[in-house]
Amino acid sequence: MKHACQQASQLTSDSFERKLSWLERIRLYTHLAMCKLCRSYNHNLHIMHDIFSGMRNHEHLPKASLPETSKAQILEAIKKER
Amino acid sequence: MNPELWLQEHGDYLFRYAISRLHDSELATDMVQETLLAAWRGHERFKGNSSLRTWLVGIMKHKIIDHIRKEIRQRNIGDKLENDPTSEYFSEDGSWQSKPSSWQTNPEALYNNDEFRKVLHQCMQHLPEKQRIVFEMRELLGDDSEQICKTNDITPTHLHVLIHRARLSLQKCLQQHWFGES
Repeated sequence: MKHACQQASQLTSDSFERKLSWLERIRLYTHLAMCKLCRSYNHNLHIMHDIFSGMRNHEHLPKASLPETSKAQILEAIKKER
Repeated sequence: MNPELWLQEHGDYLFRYAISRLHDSELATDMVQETLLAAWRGHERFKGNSSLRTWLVGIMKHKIIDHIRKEIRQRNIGDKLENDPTSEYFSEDGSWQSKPSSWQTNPEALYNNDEFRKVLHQCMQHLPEKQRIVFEMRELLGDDSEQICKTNDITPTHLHVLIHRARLSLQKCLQQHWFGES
């Protein structure tokens, strides 16, 4: 049997991925109520999740542009297809 | 409908999008080409209820997923469930090895911060390949679980374990390299 913190960390992560069962929720939240470190971990995962959602919704794309040679190559391929 | 014009107007954007996902400019060029050709072949399916760019990006997402899937098959990238790396994060007595401290921050300020994104990117690069792939598909591409499982040929349980491992590792890495040790 895994130790409580190890198990709580898996349940914390899973709570982003699926609906936890009734028993899992009780197990997780009773542990969080007693354990400050796991509460911090839970908090940090929420921050991380928000950061990724933000990145997903505000496309931060690298500064780069298609090299001219690549453009020519693609144009050539399009011409063949037309 | 003019694919030459698409290249002119959206080529750079598609290229940047592909680089942000694949981190390889040659591969990104191939993806732009494949996307434009596929779009041209299927241009009758473009209904015009989304913008042309959104439609092209949608096609490109599929191309990128196909590419990742092929890559995984060819190189047989694996991450066995049997050896559990998460035990590294916990002591013998089961307590946290490196203690998480509660991050006091505004997520919005962070995802707009180039320095932070560099650190995050480096932390992601340190993940075992399969963890990184599924985590990126989940959190950056926003794919649903079913799609990710199909692409990687894994079960939902395996997916959740991989994502859990990735989160433990990223949390620790960001704590060390950005937020500071507790």
